[in-house]
Amino acid sequence: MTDYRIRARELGKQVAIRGGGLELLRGVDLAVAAGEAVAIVGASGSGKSTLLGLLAGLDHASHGSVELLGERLEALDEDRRARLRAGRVGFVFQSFQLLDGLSALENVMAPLALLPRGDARAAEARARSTRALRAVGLGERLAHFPSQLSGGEQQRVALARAFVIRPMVLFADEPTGNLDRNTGEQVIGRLFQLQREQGATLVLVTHDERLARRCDARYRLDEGVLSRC
Amino acid sequence: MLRRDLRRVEIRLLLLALVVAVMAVTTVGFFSARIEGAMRLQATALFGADLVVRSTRPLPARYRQAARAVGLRVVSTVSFPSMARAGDSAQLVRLKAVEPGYPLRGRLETSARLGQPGAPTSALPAAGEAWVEARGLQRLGIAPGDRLQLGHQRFRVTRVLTFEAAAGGSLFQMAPRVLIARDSLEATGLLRPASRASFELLLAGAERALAVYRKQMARRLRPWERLQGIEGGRPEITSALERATRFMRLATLLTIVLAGAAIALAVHAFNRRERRAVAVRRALGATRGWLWRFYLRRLAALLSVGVALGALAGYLAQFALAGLLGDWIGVPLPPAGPGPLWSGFVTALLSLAGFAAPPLHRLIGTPPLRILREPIDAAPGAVQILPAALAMVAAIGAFLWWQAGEARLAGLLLGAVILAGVVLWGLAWGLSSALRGVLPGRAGGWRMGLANIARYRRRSALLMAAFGLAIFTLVLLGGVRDDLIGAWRASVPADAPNHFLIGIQPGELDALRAFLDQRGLRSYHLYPMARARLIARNGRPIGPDDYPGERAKRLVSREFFLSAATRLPAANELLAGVWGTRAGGLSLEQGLAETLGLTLGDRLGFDLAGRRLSLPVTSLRKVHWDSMQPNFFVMLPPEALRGLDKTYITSVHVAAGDGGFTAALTRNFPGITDLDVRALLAQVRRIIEQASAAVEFVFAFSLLAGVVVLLAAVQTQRSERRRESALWKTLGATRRMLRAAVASEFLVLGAIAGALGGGLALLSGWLLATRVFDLAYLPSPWPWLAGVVGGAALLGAIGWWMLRGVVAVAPMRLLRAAQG
Repeated sequence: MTDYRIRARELGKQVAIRGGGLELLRGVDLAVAAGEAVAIVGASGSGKSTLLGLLAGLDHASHGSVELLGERLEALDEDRRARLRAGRVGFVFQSFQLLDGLSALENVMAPLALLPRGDARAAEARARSTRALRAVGLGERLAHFPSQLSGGEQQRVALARAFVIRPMVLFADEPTGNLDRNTGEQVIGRLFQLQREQGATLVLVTHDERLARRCDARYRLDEGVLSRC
Repeated sequence: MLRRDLRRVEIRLLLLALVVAVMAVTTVGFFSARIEGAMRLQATALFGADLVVRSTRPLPARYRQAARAVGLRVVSTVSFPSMARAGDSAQLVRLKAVEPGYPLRGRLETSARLGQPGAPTSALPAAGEAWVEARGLQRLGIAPGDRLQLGHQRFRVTRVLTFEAAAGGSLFQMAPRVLIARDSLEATGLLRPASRASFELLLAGAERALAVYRKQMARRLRPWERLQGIEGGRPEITSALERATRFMRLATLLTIVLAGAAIALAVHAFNRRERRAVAVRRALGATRGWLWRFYLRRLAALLSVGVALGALAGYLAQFALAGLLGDWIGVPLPPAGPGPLWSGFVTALLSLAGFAAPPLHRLIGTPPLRILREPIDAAPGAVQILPAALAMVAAIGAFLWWQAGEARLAGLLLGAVILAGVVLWGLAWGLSSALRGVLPGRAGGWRMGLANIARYRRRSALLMAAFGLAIFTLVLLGGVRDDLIGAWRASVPADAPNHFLIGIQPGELDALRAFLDQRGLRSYHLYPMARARLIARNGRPIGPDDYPGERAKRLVSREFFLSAATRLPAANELLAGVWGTRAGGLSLEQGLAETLGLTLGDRLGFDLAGRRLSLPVTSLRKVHWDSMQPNFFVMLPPEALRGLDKTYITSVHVAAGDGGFTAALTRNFPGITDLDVRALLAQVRRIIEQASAAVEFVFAFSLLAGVVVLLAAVQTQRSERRRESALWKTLGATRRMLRAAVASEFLVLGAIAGALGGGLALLSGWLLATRVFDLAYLPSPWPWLAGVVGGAALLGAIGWWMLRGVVAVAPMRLLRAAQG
């Protein structure tokens, strides 16, 4: 029997706008197995990020259901969904989303601070985060702040932050969208390398077909409807 | 545009800060203007003339002749405190003997019976008649038609005196007035050398005649004589009212400083949100000039609304203040003029110019490319903050300078605020850096909050410095307020002497001692008093022209009472030299010595009604003037006053049960004046309660401004915290954890800021109390503790309230931001 990390059934999302409702997603069915890498492609405004948010439990669906790591998200309130993600789900965003006031090392340590006490003692958290930064080639930039790092470096800090918890699921939202082609290639190479090493399930949202082809499965989202490529 | 701007929290805070500043300035401005107006009105009403020559000695006839010669109308009066008796009752009154024609300006109003409204009259009491104020009649238990004993003479009360122009005296005129004819005075035998009489020559006539007379008299006046016109005739305001007014000014200035800090923080928050918009506009071709016009128009709209709302609120608030303090003055307050509106406008303009323009300049002046590449939430560096800080200091300085007359207060205040800001920033930065090594980044909301203080050093330091400054100001002001009110209350202790016996003749001493002993009054001291004037120092004559200061001029020109005692009086402390007859010299009060530049060893010459006396200064004393004991500037060895014309004074505490004391005293000693200060003490206590309430009222403005600072400080970080909150949530943090983090962070920041601000406030409070308000200052740990606990509670609550929405932000915001 296949071990699914993510399962979405008949997923739909509507938002109210002036003069009626707007349907962002319709009848989305998706199943992602453990260790599988899945790409979701589509044009801007097709609903890719909305789908990613629903799958990660960042938002709630209007219809249908999502199962993440065996838990039905619609049965959980926002805090319980957050607890489900803590230490098990990683994120990589297009705009990096690092905390400006924290150094590279402190940014990577941030998710470890959310783990139950004892799992991540300060010294151990520091050591793990240092290893994670070395793994993305930033062993010499531990004390640098985001404003002192280039875009590619910032995204590599974000990768280290995502993988430091050895995530069961990794959500990546246009991870190369703000990077030039070469830097993007380097970042994405690291991403797939870490994903394979740690056996993480990857959901990658992108409009880059070349990037999508590196995944095990590809889906296309068109006007809120998901289909397998 | 204004309506759209007002939807933004930071703009609403900016407007609120402006309104609070304008409200504080206009409230106190409107109120002060009305009080001054009332005092002018009162001065005119009390004056009863265009010009008055006032003296403590009988006036020479040539003054009257000179006035008549230039065509002025003249009338003279004599007034002094005296005891009036009716049957067994006795009452201290202000006896005034007037000549026909009195008053020259204003009018008298009388009624035939008690309780009847008064009607104007041009008549005066005939020989053997007395007109008495209603409260005097009530206290004596008599009515028109009854007899009244004044000294050796009996008078018939014929009218109730309901209003008297030229009533004279201070604002706190306590004794009821009795009016008699000048011709009836001699028979009373009350006019003695030490009667504390005021001799007045009232003059009225044409402006030119008055000017000529002024010019003539300027050369003729002797040191104990004064020429007063309406402009100089404003009654002395009491130290309580003066201190209350100073406190109001201090509170207003601090309110403006706090409001300015709130404006700076609000504009900082505005800048952070506006930078992207400026970048886009500049990229699209907007010039700096265009952007300046664009933003100045918006600020001008805010300024107009702020001034209008603040002035309206100030106008309404001053009614409350007038209600609290208005009845001190004794006449209805005139309506307020438009002057304070101008003050309010200038305050708002200076606050905006000083606190908002520098950040705006920075916003507009940054190249668009740099803004696009710069992290939007980047905090400004120290170098960027410096010009803004200097502009703020300039704005505060300009305002304080504009509030002329309070240069020392302004200087102390400005110094204290700048020093507090710098010290607080340094301490806060150091503390948050120190915590970095101590606090682990571990699980749990409370620990996360504490760790955040160390993680975000700049942010924590800004909050601590802003909170600390607000708490510093509030604790300082609160401390000064408490000391002020405490000192007022302490000035009227419950067991203080409540009767002063003055004008005791040397021949009455033994009999008076027997009388007091018989009534069980033993702890009193009889001090001799003789009028004297300081005329020489070390053999060289001195006069008012030798001193630049007003107080020194006054001290040298006026007569004061010398006294003598073998032992140092109880309310005196010896500061230097040797007390006593052994030294054979005189003892000076320290303040007098400082003002006149006199030191130990100086030989001083006095004129005692024609007799010369020369003695060296052998000691300096500190005198507690508010001790309700007879106190003197200059004290001599008892033998120095031998053979001189003198009277005696003493003060006793008469128990509440001894109701017949005054009546018995005046029956046995008709010439002794019993100054019963119980009513005065009660009146002073009532004034103190009113002044305290007024002080609390103005303090509320500062409190409000302080809260706006805190709100604005938190607002500057709101967008940054929203993004962080969303990120922490995607990483797995729960709302409970984030709430706990915010609460612990703000509680600890508040406590630290309270400790720092409270500590600094104690230091500054000592300076203000001793240098500005002349109060004894006892440092107490309570204001500091109040700062710590209050800071934690206030900031915990404000952080919680302002950031409750931040904790609730949906994590999807991050993905949407990425799309945007």
